[in-house]
Amino acid sequence: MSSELPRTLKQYRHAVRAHELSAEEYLDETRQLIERGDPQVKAFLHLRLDAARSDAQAADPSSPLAGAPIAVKDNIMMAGERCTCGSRILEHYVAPYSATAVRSLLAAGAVVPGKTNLDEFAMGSSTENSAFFPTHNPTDLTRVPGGSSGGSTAAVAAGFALGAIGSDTGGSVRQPAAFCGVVGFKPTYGLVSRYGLVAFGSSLDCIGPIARSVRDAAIMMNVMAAHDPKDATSVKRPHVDFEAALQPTLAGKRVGIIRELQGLDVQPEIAAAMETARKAAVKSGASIVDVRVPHILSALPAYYIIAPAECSANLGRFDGVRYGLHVDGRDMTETYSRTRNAGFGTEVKRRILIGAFVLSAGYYDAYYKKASSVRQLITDELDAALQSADVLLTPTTPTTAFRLGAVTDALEMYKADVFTIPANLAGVPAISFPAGKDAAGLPIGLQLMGPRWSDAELLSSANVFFTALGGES
Amino acid sequence: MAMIIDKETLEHVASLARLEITPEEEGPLLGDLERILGYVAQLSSVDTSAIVSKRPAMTELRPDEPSAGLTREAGLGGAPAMRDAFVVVRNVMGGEDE
Repeated sequence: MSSELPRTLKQYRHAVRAHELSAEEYLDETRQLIERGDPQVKAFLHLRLDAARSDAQAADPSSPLAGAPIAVKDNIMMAGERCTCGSRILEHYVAPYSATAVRSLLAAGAVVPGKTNLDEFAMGSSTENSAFFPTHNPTDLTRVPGGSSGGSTAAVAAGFALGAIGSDTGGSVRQPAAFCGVVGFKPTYGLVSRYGLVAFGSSLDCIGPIARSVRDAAIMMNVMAAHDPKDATSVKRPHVDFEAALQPTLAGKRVGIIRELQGLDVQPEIAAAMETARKAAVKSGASIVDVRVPHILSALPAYYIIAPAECSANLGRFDGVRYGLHVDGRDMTETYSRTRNAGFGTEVKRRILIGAFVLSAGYYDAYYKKASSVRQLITDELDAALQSADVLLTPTTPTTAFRLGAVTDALEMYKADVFTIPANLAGVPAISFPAGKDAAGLPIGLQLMGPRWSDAELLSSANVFFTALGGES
Repeated sequence: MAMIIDKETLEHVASLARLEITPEEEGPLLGDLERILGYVAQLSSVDTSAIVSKRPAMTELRPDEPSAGLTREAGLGGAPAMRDAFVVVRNVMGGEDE
């Protein structure tokens, strides 16, 4: 084995194919990192390292992922493994089948070291809402990793896996990727199957890769992007090789800066990173264009009507009858409410109640219907902006990772998603990539959005920014 | 300013959502919901009169053909109480349980 461990999937695959490294050797190294580091980071809810080692031994070195460890967020099912969604209501639930995304990764030679922590049912921006324990940011253990896929991003940042998958409903892949200094990609809605992802907001949820480089995210997309008859929202598209589509420059590209986001209060180092990125784009042959998305700041309030509404409907299935926790009551109604009360945490209850309120008779038109119209308006405006620009550049987050326990107000926590939510409302692809560090040494993430189905071009543009700002190609 | 959500509305919504609100939870929840609903209510000032809501593209359904899916055992394996391959629940039609 070579003295230096591969940092990226690309390097790993090369080393394995050149017989400089075996999948078992790499997994053993990973196991040591996990055993040493995870008691502090707490990225994983459950580990399956012995099973992963057997899988690594059996992995075909010529397969696309060649036995690479890929962590899976614990709201995505893997047959025979627990799938808790970070909730007491599913604490002992064992998945009867695997998500299509997981099956695709396994078929491509990935091995799964464990299931990662998350905010309960993916509702949160810090992974502090997990019913079990909070995850810590590997860069600074007193900080949050972001959320809700904070376990997955922390695992990749800490070297516990070469990649991971998460779910992104309002930024849950991109925001924690920014906080942990890794790449997080939310594909176009419909590109990656959600079969086997426990539903939160079905018109918004996407599964996406988390990786150490943009190229690694493209390698994972090559494995996961496929039409799936088991997901009715999955779309048939021509085959694309996301890795082969990576281009070395931004020549001829128009990079849009959204005027309405300029006045927002962002941490000064993040504003400076935007300026550095803008200069790098020009140096690489891009032109900068000023675009308008007049109602983009209404995305956050629209989301916090639509997502809770969908969550209140989706989480209706947890009734203590067919799976999960059961707390007996005098009759069925009391059994339902006792089970749900004991099983759901505060934030989940809050969102279910908001959802039930905005969908209830007398309030539906003023809240849900209005939010749906605003969503359409923002989608139309974003589509128009993406006609005059090829990609839109924004910060991923207004601040870098905050301290555990620092944000206790629900509404303040929601505001961490201001830059990431518009892409979910419009169904367009968006990626967060690392762009330097702040004065405290905490990672900064910037975001690119692109038109629907431009995922390959978006990854290519992100790769140019990422490498120009010091990332590995 | 008029409250958006009061105690009675919260109790009604909680019963719709099959959630019990304990007396200790009620005060903080009412405060949180009032602020969140007050925040999202800013959408009322957005002019959406020109918005024609688009129907989502027709979902393409898979062929309606039998195929191997989950076995009954796997599908029901997570149920808290089972008898003869059926899920056991409390009597829903009124009257006493067996």
